[in-house]
Amino acid sequence: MRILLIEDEDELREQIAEALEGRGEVVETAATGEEGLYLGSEYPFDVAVVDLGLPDLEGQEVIRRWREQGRDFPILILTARARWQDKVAGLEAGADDYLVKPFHMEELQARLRALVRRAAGWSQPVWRFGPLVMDTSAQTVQVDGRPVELTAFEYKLLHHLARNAGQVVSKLELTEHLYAQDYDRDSNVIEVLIGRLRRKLDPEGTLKPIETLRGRGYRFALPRDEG
Amino acid sequence: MRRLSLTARLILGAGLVLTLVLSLTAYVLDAVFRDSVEEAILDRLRSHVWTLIAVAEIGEDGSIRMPKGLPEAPFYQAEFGLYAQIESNDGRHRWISPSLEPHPIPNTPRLAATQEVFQRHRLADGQPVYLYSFGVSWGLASLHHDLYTVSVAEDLSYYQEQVGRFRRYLLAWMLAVAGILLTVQGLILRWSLRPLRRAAKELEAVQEGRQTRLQGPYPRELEPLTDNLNGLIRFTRDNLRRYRNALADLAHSLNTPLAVLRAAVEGKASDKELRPLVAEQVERMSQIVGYQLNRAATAGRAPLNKPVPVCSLAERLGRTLAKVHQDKGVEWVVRCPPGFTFAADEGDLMELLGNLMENAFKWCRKQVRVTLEPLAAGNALLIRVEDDGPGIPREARERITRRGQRADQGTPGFGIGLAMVAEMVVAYGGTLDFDDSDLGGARVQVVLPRPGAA
Repeated sequence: MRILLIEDEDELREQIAEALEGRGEVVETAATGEEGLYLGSEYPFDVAVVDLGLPDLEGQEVIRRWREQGRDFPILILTARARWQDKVAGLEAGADDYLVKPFHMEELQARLRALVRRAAGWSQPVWRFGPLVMDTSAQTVQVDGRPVELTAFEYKLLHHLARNAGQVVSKLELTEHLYAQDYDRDSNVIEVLIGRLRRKLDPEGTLKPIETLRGRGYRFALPRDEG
Repeated sequence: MRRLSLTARLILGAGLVLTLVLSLTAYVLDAVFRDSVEEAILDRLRSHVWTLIAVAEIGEDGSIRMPKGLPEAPFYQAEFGLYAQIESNDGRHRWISPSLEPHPIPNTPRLAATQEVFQRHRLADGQPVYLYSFGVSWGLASLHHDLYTVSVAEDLSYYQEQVGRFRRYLLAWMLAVAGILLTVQGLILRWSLRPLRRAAKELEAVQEGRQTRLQGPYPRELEPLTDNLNGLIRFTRDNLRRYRNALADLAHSLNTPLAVLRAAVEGKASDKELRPLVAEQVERMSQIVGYQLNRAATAGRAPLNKPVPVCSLAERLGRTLAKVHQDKGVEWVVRCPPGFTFAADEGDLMELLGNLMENAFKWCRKQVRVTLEPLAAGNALLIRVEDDGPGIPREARERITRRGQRADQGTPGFGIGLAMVAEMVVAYGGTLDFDDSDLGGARVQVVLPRPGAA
């Protein structure tokens, strides 16, 4: 997941970013509302974490402007003020969930995962594509009831493709969602990863879960079960 | 700029009206009096004319003769200010009274028989007079032209003296009346404004701590003001006490986990043992802070609240919670009379409803029902929140509602939400009840009296 984090408290921002990165997420951080607003307006993100009490631009305002621009990634607000008025105002501005400080990192992680899953149209953490089953909370994958061992990167790659099932995902987009900004984009690591993923998921070559569209990118091709 | 004082406003207003009314009255009285004086003069002059006609003798040739010993003595002496003249209309014969000698009255009118004219006029020496002229025909057959005009004039001095005296009286009276009215007005004003001055004085006493409230009784018009002021004073004092209590509680309840942490750090515990201990104490402190801050932020029975549209408040909370619990697909409904408002602190109502509804959304399987109703003719608000979840165990209900139960000391599974609700309900002097809902889960019912309602 590519996560935008806006938090003015340096210590807390570093801690959250570190914790999320330690779990294999890509985190972009901003210390001010203006900077965060800019990042969220210009770059693709899967989810944003916005502190409500920012010094320059209120978190609520940042959210409102994103929504006005048509940015539709899910947003979780962090607030030190536990009053309902703040929570309601935040959600009415366009946020999708709230978390009151102080919170547990696991809780934040779980909420973010649920938001991204929900944004992809899944109401359950377990995604079923015929024989392929992904448990997004346990981060495990099964094919025909047989567990498939994936590295963290392979899982993230599959997760992003499956989340956008049926749509073409460009190599650039995959790179951006899997790596921090300064990664060397000319590398062929994505192709290598896709190849490994195909072999692990479909050793016999009968399922064909991932299509390559020459010059355009990849597409997760398995039809999604309801749920 | 300082605004004009109430007294100045009233005196100024009354003064203006008084001046206007008194001026108008004086003008009318003066006009009426002048008319009546002129009327009296006319009557007198007319009777002089009749006397002159009665005593005058007209000769065969039309000459006028006046017998000696004219009964009207004043005509002989100029100092009486009375003058008479009889003149034939053809100008050939004339008689003038000795008081006029030697000049006749200039430009007297020549009138037909029984015609009369009353006017202001001037004598030959320029003296202003009232002049009454009357046309008469003696009916002498020998004369083919026997029309005469009889004129009598009187000095203005009589008139001027009368009117002058009257005006002096009038002015004196009017001034006296104005003075009396303004004095009375001022006294009434002083008397009427006395409660206001007393209220200000009492308020000062409250500020200086010599008094705790405004002591009545006050006039009916002021009672809402003084009642509200008393409410505000009480509210401020309660607030201060609550903040102090909250601070004291906060300090007190933070000390225990801090002591535990300090003991652990100074003790011989290994890093590995410290980790869960720190986590546990941090959790505890976070709960304490959250609870105490919320408690201090409760406005409670503040007077002067604006009406809160409770229906839309519940709807907003419902939409917010439905968004957060989207995965569950909660079917929620708010039953509320359209346009229903309740005067209380909006933040408090939101906190109360938010905590109740959050619990319902959290524990329900699928359904949440919120009912809002006015009670006691709008002087109380009924909030009922129901769900189809597992319900609240009996012993937990008792623990939550028990007075003095410190919620930060933990009601596992229910967080501090319901404890906050209980705390707030107590602050409002309301009631909190738990029961089973026909939906299958918990039913929490709160009745809040309207702050300021008797």
